[in-house]
Amino acid sequence: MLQIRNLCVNYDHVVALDDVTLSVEKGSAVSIIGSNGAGKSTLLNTISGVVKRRSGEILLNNRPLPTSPHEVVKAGIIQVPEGRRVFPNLTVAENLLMGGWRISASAAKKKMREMYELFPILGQRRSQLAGTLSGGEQQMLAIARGLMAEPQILLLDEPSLGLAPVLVNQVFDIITEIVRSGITVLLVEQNARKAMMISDYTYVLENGRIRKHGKSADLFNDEEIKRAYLGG
Amino acid sequence: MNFSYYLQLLIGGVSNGAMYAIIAVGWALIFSILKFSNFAHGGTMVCSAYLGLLATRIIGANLWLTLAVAALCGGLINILVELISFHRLRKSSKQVLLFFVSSITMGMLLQNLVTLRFSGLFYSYPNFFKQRFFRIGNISFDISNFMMLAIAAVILGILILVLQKTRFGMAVRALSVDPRTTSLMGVNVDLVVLATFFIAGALAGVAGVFVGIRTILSPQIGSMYTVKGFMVAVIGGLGSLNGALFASLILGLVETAFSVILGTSLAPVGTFFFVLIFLFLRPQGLAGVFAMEKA
Ligand SMILES: Nc1ncnc2c1ncn2[C@@H]1O[C@H](COP(=O)(O)OP(=O)(O)OP(=O)(O)O)[C@@H](O)[C@H]1O
Ligand SMILES: [Mg+2]
Repeated sequence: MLQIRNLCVNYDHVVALDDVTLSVEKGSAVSIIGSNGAGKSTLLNTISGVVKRRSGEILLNNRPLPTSPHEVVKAGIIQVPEGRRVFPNLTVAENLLMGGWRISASAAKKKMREMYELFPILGQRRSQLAGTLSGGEQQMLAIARGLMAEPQILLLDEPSLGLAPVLVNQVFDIITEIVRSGITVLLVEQNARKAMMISDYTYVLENGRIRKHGKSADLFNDEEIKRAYLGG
Repeated sequence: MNFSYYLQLLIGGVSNGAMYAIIAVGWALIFSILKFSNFAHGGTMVCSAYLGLLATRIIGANLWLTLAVAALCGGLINILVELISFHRLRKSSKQVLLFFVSSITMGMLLQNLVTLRFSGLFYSYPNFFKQRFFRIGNISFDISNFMMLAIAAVILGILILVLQKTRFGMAVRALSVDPRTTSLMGVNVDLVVLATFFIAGALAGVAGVFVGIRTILSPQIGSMYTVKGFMVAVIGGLGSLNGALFASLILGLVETAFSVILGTSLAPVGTFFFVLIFLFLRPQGLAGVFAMEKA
């Protein structure tokens, strides 16, 4: 469904992605693991069009993906950015409506009710400013906001970052649920174990290059990966 | 010097403030989404004031048509301002100084275009109102003051509704805190920026007509109101709409008061002095955003 070929990205003189090739099958969950600065966010931001690539191509359903951010969303790919990035000066309901920008106003209203069922806490807080939510609630809001766009592919950038263990489990349960509902997920995580547990396929990114990739279940038994990312 | 005199003065001051509010809110709107000031604002204002004047001369436009013409022209001019002096810089540079130079140059260009066409001569708007004054009891009031106040109130009311209640307004508020995430939501940020410039320009156009009604037009109005607009924006706390409204009211009243105390020719000195003292005491402006952070 999503194909990335020979993607190279740099920031001035820093090479952030070097010849990255990967593909994501429809309906699957693919995770990208790697340490700080590996280039994970750069990858998602390049797909989203907020970072410009130097070379390489990105295809959605065999057609080149547009490069401006709003067109990428229109094509059906939305990102839940690192650090949640909810709009603090907008209410919870307005944040959701921002996520539903690409669909009609009436469809967005309907979708919003769905989100309140999926995330009851957001329903209770709908008219509260998003900046006053707790970190966990903000993460739920950020995910719900992404789902509002009714995307084909959801890009998630470290959704478990900075959350208490209970909430981390909850977030991964939600992601599993999202995949089950038919949305394709590309998940970036530092929590490699959890990410690999819920994904079909995993890519390991190191210093901007794909170091290893394979079925998540297989990589669990890879000695190198065990040592470097799964804590021995 | 009696009660009615002071009442008229107060109304004059508030209406003066309403004119500043129209300028300052346009200014604040641009600052809130881009985090820098558009110093071409006065240029847009003076251009549209003269275009409104042409409408009165050529087609004999009444007040409403003149306002519509000036607002439309102001909006369109401001779209050009964005495309010519901001668009590329916005994408490539984070240096505030460049925005400053680029927009101030644009403002001077607009003002000089007006000078070329209307050089030297003083023009003034026709009298839009059949009667200049109306009386309640034995107090007479200047109708134009009331009209400007009412028009400003309606326009600002609509603007606030648009910002608070529409999808577009929501995108503007989102953009003002996080442009990148706003674009990640699928918003065409460039388009929203252009629309915001159009609105700010339309406000500048309306303000231009107000200035034309209050005083005699001259090309220098451009730079003068750029300075005043910036002053009000800084006093209000850059980018804050509420602060801008409040600061406009204060400046309108202070200026009117000084014009009585010091006479019209010395009044600006008093006003600038007041602003300096205010900024000395409260450099972050009324709304609390630090004024020195970005020009
Ligand atoms: N805007 C930028 N300007 C310059 N360099 C950048 C920029 N953003 C990222 N980089 C650099 O690119 C490299 C990859 O960064 P990226 O944010 O993609 O890593 P990451 O894998 O997401 O890391 P983390 O796990 O810490 O989020 C890093 O070396 C980083 O310093
Ligand atoms: Mg990252």
